[in-house]
Amino acid sequence: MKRSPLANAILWFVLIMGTAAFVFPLWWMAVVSLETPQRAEAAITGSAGISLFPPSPQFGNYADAVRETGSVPWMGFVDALSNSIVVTVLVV
Amino acid sequence: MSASPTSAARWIGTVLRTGLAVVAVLLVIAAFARVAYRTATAGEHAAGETVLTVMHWSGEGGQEEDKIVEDSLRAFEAANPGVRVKRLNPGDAGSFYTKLQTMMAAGEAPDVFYVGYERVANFASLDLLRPIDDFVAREYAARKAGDATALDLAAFYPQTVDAFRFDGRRVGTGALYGIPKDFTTVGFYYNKDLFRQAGLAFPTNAWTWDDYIAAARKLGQLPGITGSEFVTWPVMVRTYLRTEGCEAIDDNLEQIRVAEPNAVAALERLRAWRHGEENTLTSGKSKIATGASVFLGGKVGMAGPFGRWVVPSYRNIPKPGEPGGFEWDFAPLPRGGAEANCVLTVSWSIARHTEHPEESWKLVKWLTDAKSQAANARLGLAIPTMQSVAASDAFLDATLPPANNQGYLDAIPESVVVGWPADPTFEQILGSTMDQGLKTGDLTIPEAIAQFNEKWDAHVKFVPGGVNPRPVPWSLFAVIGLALAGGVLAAIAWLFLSGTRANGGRSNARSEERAGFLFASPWVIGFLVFMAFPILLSLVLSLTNWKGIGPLSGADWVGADNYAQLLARDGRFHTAFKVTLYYAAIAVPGGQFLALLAAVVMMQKVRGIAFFRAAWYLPSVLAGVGVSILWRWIFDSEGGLINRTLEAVGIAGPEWFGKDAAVFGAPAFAIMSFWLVGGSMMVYLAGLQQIPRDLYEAAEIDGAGPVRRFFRVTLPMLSPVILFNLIMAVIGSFQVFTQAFVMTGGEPGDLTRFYVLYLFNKAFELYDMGYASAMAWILLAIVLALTAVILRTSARVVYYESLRK
Repeated sequence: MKRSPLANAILWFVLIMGTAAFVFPLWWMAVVSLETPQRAEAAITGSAGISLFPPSPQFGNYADAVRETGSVPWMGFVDALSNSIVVTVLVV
Repeated sequence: MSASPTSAARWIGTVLRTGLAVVAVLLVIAAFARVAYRTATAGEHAAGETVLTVMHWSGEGGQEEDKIVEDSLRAFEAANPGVRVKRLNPGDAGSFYTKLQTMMAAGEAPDVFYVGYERVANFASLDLLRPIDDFVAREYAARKAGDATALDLAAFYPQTVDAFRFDGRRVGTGALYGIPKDFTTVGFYYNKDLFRQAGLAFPTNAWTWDDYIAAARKLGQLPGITGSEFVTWPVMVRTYLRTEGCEAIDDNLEQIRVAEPNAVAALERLRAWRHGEENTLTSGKSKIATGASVFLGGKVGMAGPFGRWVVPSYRNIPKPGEPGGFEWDFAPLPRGGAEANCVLTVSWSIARHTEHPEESWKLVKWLTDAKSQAANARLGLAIPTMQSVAASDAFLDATLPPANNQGYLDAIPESVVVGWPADPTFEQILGSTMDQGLKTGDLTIPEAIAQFNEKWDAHVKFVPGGVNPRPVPWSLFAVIGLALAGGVLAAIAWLFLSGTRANGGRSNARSEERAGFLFASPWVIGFLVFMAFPILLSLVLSLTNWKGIGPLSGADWVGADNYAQLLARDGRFHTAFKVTLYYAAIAVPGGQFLALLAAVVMMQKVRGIAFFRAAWYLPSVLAGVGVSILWRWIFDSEGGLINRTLEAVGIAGPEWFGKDAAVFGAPAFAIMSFWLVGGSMMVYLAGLQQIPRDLYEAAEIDGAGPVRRFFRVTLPMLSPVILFNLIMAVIGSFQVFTQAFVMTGGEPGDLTRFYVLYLFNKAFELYDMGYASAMAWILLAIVLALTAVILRTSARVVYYESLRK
C-alpha cells in the first residue's frame, strides 16, 4: 500500500503535532526544574515568561530535591526509594 | 536494519545489559535490607526508658523548621536522661492531620503534637486532647513558691492562650488544651517599588479600607500590574467583616449572621472590587495562586490578608536592582468602621490517652519556653507567643525584611481568636459558598448566603440514628463474618477433596492438584484478610456514624440513615455527582475517540514509528501527583501554557479554575485526561495488530476504500477491545481524585469537587467515616449499574471472533 503524498503529509503533520502536544509539557517541566526558585515561581504564576532553555541551569535543584526528601538529609530519599522497590518487587 | 551489528557492538550491548541487571539486583537487595533494618530498629529502646512520640509539620518552614524541632528535642533528651523522643514529621499540615487521624483511630496517637487553632474545638469535642489546667495550676503554685523555671501563662499574649480554651461549645473560654508555640496576625504585603512608581504613599499601620482600595485602583493602572490579591478564606472573610463591625457567626456558633445589611454591604463591596473593576483585585485563579506566590513575580501591588508565614519565602525575593527584585514590606489589616485583626496560632498539645502525661507536659513546657521560641522566631515564620521574646531581637530582626515587624505586634490588642463551631463542616461549607460569591462571582452575596443556609441546614438537621442511637451489633457481624470465612474455607476444602476423588486417585494428578491449592492458598488467605474483611467492614461502617478518628467502639448504629441523607438531602453530594458525570461525559467518549485515532496513526508504517509510540505513551507512565502539579501550571489562567497559546492566536482563554469554573472546571480535567490516552492507545494498538491482514485484502479486492474498510472491518473486529476500554474508562472517570486533590482541592466552591474527592473530604477532613463508607458503596452501585448497561446494550454490536459458531 502506497500512500499519496497528501496523506503522507497529513500523517507527518499529525505525528509531529501530537508528539509536540505530548512532550512539550514534559520539556517545560524539565526547564522549570532547572530554573532558580524566583524565575520558576514567576513563570508558573504567570507574571513572567520563561525561556526554552534555562540561561543558567541549576542542576543543584536535583541534589536539593533528593537531599530534602523526608526529615533526615539523604536518608529520606533512600527510605522512599527502598519502600517503592520493596512494594514493586512484592507486587510483581 | 541493513548493517548487522559488529561483534564489538554486540559485546558492549551484553556488558551493558549484564551491568544493568546486576545494578537492579543490588538495588533490590539494598532496598530490602534498608526496610528490614528500619523495621528492626524502629521499636528499639533501652529498658526503663520512657519513649515519647512527637509529631509536627513543617509546611512553610521547610527543612529549617524541621531542624529546629529536631535540635530542641535532642536538647530535651540530653536534659532529661531516661526519656527518649521519637519524632514524626509527615510534611505539610494536610499530611500531618491525615496521619494524626489514622494514628488516633488506631489508638496510637503521638503523645505530643501540633494543633492548629481551627481544630481545637473539633479535637477537644472528640475527646482527643488532654486538658492541661492541672499542670498549669501546679506551675502557677511553683512559681509563687519561687521556682523561676515554672511556666507563667501571663508571659504569653492572652489571645494566643485563649485560642486553645474550649468549654464544650465555644473556643476562648473553658479548659486549656495546649500551649501556643507561635502565632500571627494578618495584613497585606506590598511592593514598595510599585507604590513608588504609582506615586503612592506607603500604607501606615492605621490605614483604612478606603486607602487600601484607592491604592489598589491606582496600582492597577500601571501597565501589566494588578492592584492586589485578596484571599477570601473563611477566616479572612470573618476578620474583614469584623473590621466593618459585623460578626459573621452568632455567639452560639450556630448560625451565620452575614445576612445582616451591613455585612452584606461589606461583602458586596468586596465582590464589586473583584468582579466589577479591571485590574483592581486579582481574580482568585487556580489553587496555586491562592497562596502567596503571585506576589513573588512583582506584578501584584499587594497580597493578603496573609500572616507571617509567607515571610520565609518572601525573603527569597532578590534585592531591588537585581533581576526580578523589589523592595517589600508589611502593613496590618486596614480598618473599616472598626479596628480588628485575628490571631492564627498553633499549639503543642498532649494526647488525651497518653501513657506519659508527666513527661509529655515537661516536653510541651520545653518546646514553648523562651529559648525554643527564640529559635523559631529567627526562622521568620511566626511571632513568638511569649511577649518578652516577641519584643526581643529574635523577632524584631532589623537586618531582614519586612521592616515593619512592629505592624504585626500593633495589631495584637484589637485581635481576637476566631473560633469555629466544633463541626468542621461549617467552615468548609462557608468557604465553598463564599467562594462562589466572592471568587468566581457566579452567585450574588444574598444567593451565596442562601446556599450556605440551605446546605448547613441539611447538615445540621441530619442526626444519624436519631437522638438515642443504638449500639452497633458487633457480635452479630462477627458471627456473620466468621460464618462467611468458614463457608469459604469449607468450600475450598470440599473442592480439594472432591477434586482428588474425581481424578480417581491417580497419585500424579492428586499431588498436582494439591500443589495447585497450596500455591493458591497464600493468595486466598491474603484476599480474605486484606480485601474481603475491609470491604465487608466498610459495608458495616456505612450503617454506623463512626468518625474514623476514635476507636470503633465509639460508633453508633444508624441503619440506612447515611444512605437516605446522601440520596435525598446532601446538596454537596449531588453537586459532586454532577461534576463527575459532566467530566465523564467529556472524558470517556473524547478519550476513547482520541485513543483509537492515535492507535490508527500508530499503525502506519513510517520510519521511526517506535519513537512516536514511545513519545505518545510517555505521559501515561508518570506519577499522578507530579503530572497534576504540571497541569496546574498549564491551566493557570494568566501564565498557563494553554491560555498563553490561546492568547497568541487571539483568543482570550477562560479562567479554568476561577470565575469560569462552572463551565470549564471539569472539562479542564477531561483535557488533562486526554494527555494520558497512551494506555488506551496501546490496548487499541494491540487490538489492531490482531486483526488478520487477509480480511483487509479481501475487502480491498471487493472494492472497499480505506474509509469503508475501517468501518466494515476494523471497527467490528476491534469491538471487544473498544468495549473493554470503554468500561475501564467509565470506571476510571468515577475515580478521579489525585488530579482534583492536587490541582484545585475541589475549589472554587464545589465546582471541581469530584465524587471521590468529596468522599475523601468526608472521611479525612470532616471526620465522618460511616458517611464516607456509604458513599463508597453507592459509588460501587453506580459503577456496577453503568457497566451492566454498557454490557447489555453492547451485546448486539460487539463481535467476538472466537465465539463464532
